[in-house]
Amino acid sequence: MPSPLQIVGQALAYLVFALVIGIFSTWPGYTHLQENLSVVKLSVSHIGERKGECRERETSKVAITKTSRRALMICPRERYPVRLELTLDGDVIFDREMQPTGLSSDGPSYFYKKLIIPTGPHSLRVRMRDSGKADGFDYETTEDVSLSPGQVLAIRFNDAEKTLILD
Amino acid sequence: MSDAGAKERRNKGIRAILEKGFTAVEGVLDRVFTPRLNPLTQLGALSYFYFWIVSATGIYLYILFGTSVASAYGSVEYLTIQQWYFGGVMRSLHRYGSDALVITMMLHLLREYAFDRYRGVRWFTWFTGVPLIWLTLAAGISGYWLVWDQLAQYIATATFEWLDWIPIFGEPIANNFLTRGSMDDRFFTLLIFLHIFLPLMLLFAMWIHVLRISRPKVNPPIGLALGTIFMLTVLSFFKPALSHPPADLGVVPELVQLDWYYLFVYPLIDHWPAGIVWAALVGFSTFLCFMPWMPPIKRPKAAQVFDDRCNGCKRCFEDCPYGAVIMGPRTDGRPYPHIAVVNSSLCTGCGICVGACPTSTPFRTGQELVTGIDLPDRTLQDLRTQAVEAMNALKGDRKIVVFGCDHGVDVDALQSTDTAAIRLPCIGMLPPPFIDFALSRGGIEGVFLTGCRPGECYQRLGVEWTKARINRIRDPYLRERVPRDRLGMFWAAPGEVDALKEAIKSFRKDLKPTPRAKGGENA
Ligand code: HEM
Ligand code: SF4
Ligand code: SF4
Repeated sequence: MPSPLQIVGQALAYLVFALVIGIFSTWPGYTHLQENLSVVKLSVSHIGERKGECRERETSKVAITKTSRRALMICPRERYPVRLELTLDGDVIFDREMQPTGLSSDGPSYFYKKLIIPTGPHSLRVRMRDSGKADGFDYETTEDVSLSPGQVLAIRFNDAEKTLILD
Repeated sequence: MSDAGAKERRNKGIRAILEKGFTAVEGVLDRVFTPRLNPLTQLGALSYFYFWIVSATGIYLYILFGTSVASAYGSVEYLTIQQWYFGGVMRSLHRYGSDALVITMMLHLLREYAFDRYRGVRWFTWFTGVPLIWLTLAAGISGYWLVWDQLAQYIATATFEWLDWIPIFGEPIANNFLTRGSMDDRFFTLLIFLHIFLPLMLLFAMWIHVLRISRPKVNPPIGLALGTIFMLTVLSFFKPALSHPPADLGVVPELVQLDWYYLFVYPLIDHWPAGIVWAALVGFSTFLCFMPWMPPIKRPKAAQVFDDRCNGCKRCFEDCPYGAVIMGPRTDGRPYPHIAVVNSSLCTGCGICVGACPTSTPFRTGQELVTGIDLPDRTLQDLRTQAVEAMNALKGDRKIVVFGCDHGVDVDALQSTDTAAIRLPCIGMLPPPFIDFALSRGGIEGVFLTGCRPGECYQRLGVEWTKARINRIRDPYLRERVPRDRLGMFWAAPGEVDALKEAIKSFRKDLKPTPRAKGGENA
């Protein structure tokens, strides 16, 4: 049988263990985002334009491979990189070009970026380029938003309507 | 005498400080809990035990869990609030058991390090311990997702943003957490799957971890198991595990209550670039993995079997704490089916097999002592020679021989005119007939054994087997004719020199001179 002193000692040891577990399982709290901040998540997955035009095959080659009609055309698979730019109240806060993914560079370009901005009213402009042109953009959306604390504003590209959307 | 071994065995630097710290705290806990129930000597077993608690409570939670995005939060709230007296306790035990697991796991790691039990042949167990840290943390983190509250939202988003840093997934997984409506049941099912799969992987890895240890302590003694369950249950009533407000992907939570045992990396992920966090964690794990070779331990030569002396009795096989002895088929024509074979990559050179072998008998001093299994660096023949010389040199009327080991108190310092001190790699190397031999020599009035403190044998089983052999419950038995009042024992940590000296002093005081001893030197 344990002596009274041992019982007290064991109770104390268990108490210490319980406190160590109990306390640090929730404390200290962690402030992930300050009160006066909001979040913009840029999330665009988009396939750029083809790098070259489709063209007809030379007839001599068709003779060799005339198995399918598709074979009459050669379409280069490679895509242009996609460039995405975000302007907040006149300042460019994001501007990046992403290469197409995939082994033959024929996949989408992916953007994912979380930007922390001050809460309140803002004017946002998003522009995207998916063609090979040297200057300018192919898509543009400008919107005035008012963000509340912690609010998440997602910026995406709607493929069906071919527009950049903020929601 | 293996003095290289003697120097090697003494810890230096951080390890020495940690060793002192552990030894001091364990000394107190030995008194409070008794050595058998000392929680610090049961950290691996306790970790297993917490794993089982978490598994059992997890099954209950899963039965009542709503497995869709829409129903998950509500089902956990139901458990916590309506069914607080049972479901709530199960949930709290699930959480606190997991927290306890992290604590005992990390203490276990520190302790194996502190007592230098991670190098040499033990590299495998250490090395396979490292993935257990990752798996445990990953299993716990995946559990926090399932509540689908603001904390879940925060850590799930951060986890996948962090994983997306590795450019192998194509479309960012974090898109599933983009905004309201991004999260669908299909993805949520993946999260649930992970929370079942990761613990199963952990269990598998825990099994690999102890694969090379013979008789691993995977269950804590019942007293400790009950105490710890009781403690967790009381904690569950006092501080039930609660949820944050429900997740809303349209709003990022500001303040979250982190379970620091599992979620400590999230503030890092917030403040450091993902690549740096990856580098830190992978770097730290790699460092841990290679610790057994920084620097490597000097390994004594492996035990060696002398075929013509081995009768295949399997005692060495039964007693080796590292599974280094296997019984192979016999090919030398002797009439026994088996022969002992040592796997030198597993052998620590502890000599416990030598102590177990029935042919390890020191009598017939005229002959060379050849035993079935022996240590090339410290042969039994040497041991006998050393013991005989030391005993012959003794003077005084209460002469004793102390047998000690490389990992307890350094007995070399006890050598004096009336005390012979012999050090072995492990006290388990001492064959019981040596005790008989020493006491049946004229003039030696007591034999005293010392080694690692209770529950804490550096060679895992040496002290336990020694006691069992003396108490005649494990082969080879100490012969009945050996007067037990002439045999003293004291198990102590390396620092407890004074306590050992005290114990020997009182042992000597109580020794009655033998009639033979009065007569003269030789019987
Ligand atoms: C879920 C986590 C873990 C569990 C359940 C666990 C369990 C165990 C058990 C039951 C033993 C056998 C103890 C004995 O019988 O003496 C053991 C030994 C050991 N563990 Fe762990 N362990 C865990 C994590 C770790 C970690 C993270 C490390 C270090 C990286 C580690 C290193 C070791 C070493 C070196 C030994 C060997 C001791 C020896 O050979 O004497 N373990 N572990
Ligand atoms: S010396 Fe120790 S580790 Fe080696 S075979 Fe003998 S008992 Fe096993
Ligand atoms: S204890 Fe000795 S006799 Fe028995 S199997 Fe081992 S080496 Fe052979």
